[in-house]
Amino acid sequence: MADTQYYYFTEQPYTGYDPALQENHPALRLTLSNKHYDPKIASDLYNRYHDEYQVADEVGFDGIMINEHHTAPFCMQASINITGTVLAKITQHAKILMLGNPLPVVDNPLRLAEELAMIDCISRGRLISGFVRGGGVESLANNINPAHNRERFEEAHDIIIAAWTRPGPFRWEGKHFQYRVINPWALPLQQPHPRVMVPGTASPETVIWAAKHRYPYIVLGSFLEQTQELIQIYRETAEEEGYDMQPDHIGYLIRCFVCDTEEKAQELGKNFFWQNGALNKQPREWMAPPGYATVNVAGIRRLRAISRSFDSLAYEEAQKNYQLVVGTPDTVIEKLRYVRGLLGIGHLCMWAHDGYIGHEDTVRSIELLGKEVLPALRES
Amino acid sequence: MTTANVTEEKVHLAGTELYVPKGGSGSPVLVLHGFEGHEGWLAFHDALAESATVYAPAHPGYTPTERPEWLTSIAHQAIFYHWFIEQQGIAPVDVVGLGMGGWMAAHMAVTCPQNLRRLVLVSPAGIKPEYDEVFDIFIAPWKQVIDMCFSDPASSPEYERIYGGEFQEFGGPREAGRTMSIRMGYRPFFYDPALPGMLPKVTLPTLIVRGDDDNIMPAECATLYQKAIAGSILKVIDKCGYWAQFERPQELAQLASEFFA
Repeated sequence: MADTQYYYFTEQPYTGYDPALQENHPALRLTLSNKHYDPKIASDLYNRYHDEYQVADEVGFDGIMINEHHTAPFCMQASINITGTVLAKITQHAKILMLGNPLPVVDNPLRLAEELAMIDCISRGRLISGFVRGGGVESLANNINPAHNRERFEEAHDIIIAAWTRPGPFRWEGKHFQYRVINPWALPLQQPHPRVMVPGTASPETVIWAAKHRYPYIVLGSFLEQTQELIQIYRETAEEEGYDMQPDHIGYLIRCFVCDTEEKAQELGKNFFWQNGALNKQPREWMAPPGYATVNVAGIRRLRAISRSFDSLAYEEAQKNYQLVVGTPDTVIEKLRYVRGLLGIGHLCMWAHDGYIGHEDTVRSIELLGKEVLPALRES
Repeated sequence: MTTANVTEEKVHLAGTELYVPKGGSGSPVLVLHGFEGHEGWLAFHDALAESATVYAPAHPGYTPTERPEWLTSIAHQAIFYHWFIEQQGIAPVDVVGLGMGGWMAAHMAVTCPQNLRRLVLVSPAGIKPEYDEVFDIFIAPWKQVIDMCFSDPASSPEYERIYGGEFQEFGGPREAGRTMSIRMGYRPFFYDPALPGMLPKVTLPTLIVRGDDDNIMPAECATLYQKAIAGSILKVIDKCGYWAQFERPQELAQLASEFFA
């Protein structure tokens, strides 16, 4: 499995608010008042997380995965491109894996194409540009009509690829976006354009779309059984499209934390259940507002079933199910090998920090992953 | 329940098949439903049909009428119904517009008043309130929204008939209509900034009705309508929420029938 790529990931949680709110408030996003947000704490956290990215780069991760969410404490990245720009300057080797820019909520995809091209140039060609539809709540947070979500996703994607690959100037008269002139004087360093990847948790439509474009599909921590189903959909779509799915086409994000002792790892691993494990605690209707799913009731139900999956698990059960892998390097190596082999993936993203885990413990985990776990995984 | 002689018609029009239950006799009244969608032949339709021929279509996009690709807005719905009236040769018609349907009726009155005779606008959407906010129906659980549309759901036979028993919150025949409502009314949320400027063009006799216990639409919206349409009348139904057609069907039908008489 020498070719598998390994990535470090953190949600960049904002942990500076009163945990009592986690019990009392019906939603931990969208309507959780930002009066509980302290910019001084946030300033420290941003800089701390950036320091930890540098450690991940230095110890040999192939890439750093970043993301974007809005109006929620579980993720401080309101703009993935800002984090990407920071990484372009403070890291040297790691790929910048964006999973991803939420295309439907962007009103100017041409500007997005320009920003991503700048990041690719500044990072000297290290950008992997993932695109996402974003959960329904992101459409609510950005006030973009959920009924247009998939159409805007696909059209914004087409504009960005065209802006990167088709010599300008040219005009665009689309359904949701129109441009007099597309002619960006910011083009990506990587040719014909940076690699595109697509993450997801449950939507078969997204898997099929990714497979049709031959974009790697990264499963974001769904149950292994569910993940295998999604991979099978990719495999079948690839066959229909006339190519064979390779490990490089599939990735998986797994919660993973390493310590020098099992005891400490077991204790700190509980941080993945911060906010009671309810990363996205929210009313069900925010996940799939009317029109968000293309009237696919089975899909809607499935989305909701999965949204409840992690927080409904007991800590031990989460480890048995491989939703969470914690321990010493030896323990973790064995479990990650199992997951990698079972899924046949070419990209393994390690969600290796969450909740209240402190800087020193996070750095130690990153070092153990980089110096002991990754070499062992690359060996066999 | 039904006393009117109700027929169900499918009218081929503008790229779709419009589903139109029709009942009663007398001069034509077009009833335009709101974001709740088409809930069949209502007690309200029945009461109204005692003195009129009631046309109660399911708008394009609301089950069972499919949305033609071109139709995406309230203004488009207004054009669609003018087209319907002209095709059926029933002009001029009286119109009852319920909630979002009231917004459609207002657009119809602005664009082509000669097709219409009198207007009844019930808790009409379409005008941005100056002081309060329209309740955001798109981020609340759907069952909660339905309950909020009544002053007292427990005492409403129509509530029990339509929403009683097991309730399918997601999917089912109502999902398409909810999607159509969000398509047309999401942003700006249930208003057209140009409407107050256009409404003074309306010279049709107009009755505006609202419930006294409306939890969805601020009372000022009805008042703003009344101010914008010269000579219009505003009436308030007691112990009534946003959906007067469900909660006070007899009173609403009586108000409309008297106004149309």
